[in-house]
Amino acid sequence: MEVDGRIDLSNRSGDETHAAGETSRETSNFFGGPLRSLWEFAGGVNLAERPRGLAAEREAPPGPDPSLLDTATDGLLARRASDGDEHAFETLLRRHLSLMTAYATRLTASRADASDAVQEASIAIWRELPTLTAPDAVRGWMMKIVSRKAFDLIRSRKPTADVDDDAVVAQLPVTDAGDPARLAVSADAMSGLRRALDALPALQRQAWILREVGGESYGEIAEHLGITTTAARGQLARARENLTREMEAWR
Amino acid sequence: MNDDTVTLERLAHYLDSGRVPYDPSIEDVPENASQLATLERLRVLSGELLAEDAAADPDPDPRWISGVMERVRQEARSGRDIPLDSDGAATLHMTEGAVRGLIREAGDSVPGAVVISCSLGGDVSAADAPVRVEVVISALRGQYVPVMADEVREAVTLQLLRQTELDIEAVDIVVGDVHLLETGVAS
Repeated sequence: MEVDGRIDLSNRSGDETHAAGETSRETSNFFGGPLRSLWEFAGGVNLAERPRGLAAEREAPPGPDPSLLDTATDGLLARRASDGDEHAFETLLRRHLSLMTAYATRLTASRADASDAVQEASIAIWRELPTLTAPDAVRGWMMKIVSRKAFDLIRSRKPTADVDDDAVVAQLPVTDAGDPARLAVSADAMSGLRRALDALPALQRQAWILREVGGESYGEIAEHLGITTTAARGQLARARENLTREMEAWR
Repeated sequence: MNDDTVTLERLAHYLDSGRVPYDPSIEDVPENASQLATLERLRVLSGELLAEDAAADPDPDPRWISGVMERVRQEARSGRDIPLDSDGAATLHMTEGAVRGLIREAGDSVPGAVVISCSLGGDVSAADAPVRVEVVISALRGQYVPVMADEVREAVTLQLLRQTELDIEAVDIVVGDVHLLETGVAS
């Protein structure tokens, strides 16, 4: 086929260096974290040697070199996924799956429910990615969908949602991996916090996790818990009192 | 407790605001400053606790992942149908989503370039209607961008001519982002 004869190649390249959708908003919550506005990939990957698509593969182009996506930023994966790239979505999901599961487990107090909630959340994330306005903050956005799906599940299971608290405690042992020097100082506090959180009534525990880990607003917490905003503030206030009182004992 | 102590809620809001502007009625009152430090520590510990939970989480069940991805593919945003033959007897089609996949593959194959997104302008569902392709890429910092953009344009054009019957009017390349090598210095 004649490439030159068929197309008029316009030359817009290089002129537009504005980053598309690169608004990085600082968030104070745990999931927001420091935002990486640049993405990185491993050197030495010879992209030129990747096989070209064959006619037989027309309906399902092969996925990209995994190392290309594995080292891409969340923001780039989110934008590719919202453009329909399933491989980018799977990479994004795998990257944050254990945190999504941990969050859902703390909220539902059930490992099995957490797995179901995260599954529903994953589909909702795929579905709603095209509406995401700040791709670089995708992790926090994903976690909000996880909490939404966790409470959908809790509501559908009432009133037995809290029965297997003990099972969760058993399944989430304190792991002593990490910096030994830091652990010497904080291990007692961490296991103390675990015990204190597990001892809190469900609403207080959920309000605390949603607020302090998920960075959700009073209004969002109230909606999740099915109570008024004033009542949500009350639950959070009691959680703060209980946890700070416990904390005094660890100092 | 004395008259100068403030509520935990007020302390939490002060913490939320990043302790700005400086509030002497909190910072300069020892009881309040102590409670504030406790709250801050609780907040940090809560984040670390979740990170520990996550680190202790076993690798995901491959069946769980494949189950999710199967549902994702069922909801694939395949877009418009694009005729594969220009002879009028348009019985063969490929989806717009598959064409996007071809564009991503071609763009990614250029060293230093990664496709962020792409769009097809024009009536792609009609055979022989002119189509304008726009590809947004991320460029490796340090590469001469105009040359890379030309290479991406060429790779995408060639790929689409080989694999589709689209009548391509133009392939526009927009550099939407710059990235670093993993070992590179932070900007």
